[in-house]
Amino acid sequence: MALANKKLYTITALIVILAIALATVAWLVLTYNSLVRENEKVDSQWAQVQNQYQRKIDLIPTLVSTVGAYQQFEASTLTNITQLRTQWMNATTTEDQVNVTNQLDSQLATIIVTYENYPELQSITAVRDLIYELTGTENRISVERMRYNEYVQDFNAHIKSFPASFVAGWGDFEEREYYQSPNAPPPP
Amino acid sequence: MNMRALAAPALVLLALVLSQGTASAEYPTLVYYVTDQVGVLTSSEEFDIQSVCVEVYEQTGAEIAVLVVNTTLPDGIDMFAVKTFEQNGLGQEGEDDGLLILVSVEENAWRIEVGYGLEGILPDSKVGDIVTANLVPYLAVSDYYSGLYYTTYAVGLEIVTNYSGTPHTSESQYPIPWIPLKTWQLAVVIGAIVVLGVLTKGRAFLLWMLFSRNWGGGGKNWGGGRSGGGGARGRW
Repeated sequence: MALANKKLYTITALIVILAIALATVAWLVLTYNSLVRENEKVDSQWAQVQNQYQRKIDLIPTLVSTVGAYQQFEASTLTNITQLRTQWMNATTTEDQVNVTNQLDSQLATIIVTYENYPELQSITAVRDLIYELTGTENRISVERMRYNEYVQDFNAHIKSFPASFVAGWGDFEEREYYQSPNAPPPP
Repeated sequence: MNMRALAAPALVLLALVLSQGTASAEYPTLVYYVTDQVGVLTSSEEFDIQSVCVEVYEQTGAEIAVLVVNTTLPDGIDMFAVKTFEQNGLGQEGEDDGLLILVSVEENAWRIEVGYGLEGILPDSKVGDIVTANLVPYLAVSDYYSGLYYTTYAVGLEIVTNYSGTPHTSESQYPIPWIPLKTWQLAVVIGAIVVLGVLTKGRAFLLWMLFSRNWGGGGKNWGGGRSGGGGARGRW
């Protein structure tokens, strides 16, 4: 009788251990996959940010030719903008691109300030449309950038949280960098 | 004390805590096409604007929402619009054909947030032109109704003319348009409700009341679309 009981215990214990092992493996696979997914989300969101940058760069030739016809806009600003566009196209690293767009932003801000200061410019459809496109692009960039930072935050929180941090360490997942715009406060 | 007696209240409490944690009450929930938090529109004016939105929705599936708020601070109107759009999910999922017309009264500011799917037919400059002609002149004289009506109409016309989408006609095959059941299915359901009611001596209706609270009087189910900051903004 005692022998039969012992056998039963052993079988039960084996089943329990097997179940735990299976559950652990399943958890590892699921966690790993979700980390891969989140990491890819960050990448594709960064591509989205770059698309919007490209959109802004593409707007520059029209900007320069439209706005150049009005003396209210300073010629030097327009020259700077054209030069920065060339710099962007030659930029190879992400860091360079970010650098150029930051400079570009301050030049473009001058254009918008000029536009706002001269009501007669606001009644010219071509100029007005262009400013709408410009501010719209600016806004798209900040939206996509915000989403990028949100995804980075999710991912970073996930790889640092226990017990997912084990999987992150073993799978070589590293913290992703936030995108910080020059005039935004640093993340907390 | 019986553990089971404790379990039910504990579960309810847990559910409450969880729902509090996930609910983001920061941005307005758009119950129907027009949401006026300030009270600048009468209900018949709201109805007029809504009928334009309904027409656009039925013909193309695109969802236009109008929102009037006191202020969008501390976010500012751009972020506020994106977040409100995202939280409510205007436009069909995958089509992203939603559009939000937002007016902030205290800030004298407006913003049109265009879903990804409508950016092609409503580029920023076109949106800007529509608003310059249809919204700003009326807001300047505090005629919110005319401004919002003409703007909704103008963007609606643009959508109906240039965007095909997926029509959602109300002339449906169902006897009660907002319940997707054919006549015989409806009869079965009503029959089941009656039988259930009789069998449980009316207690089944208590359960129904519990569930119906979530429906909150039949609002609009937005499609789950997204936007990415396209559109235009300005002041008056």
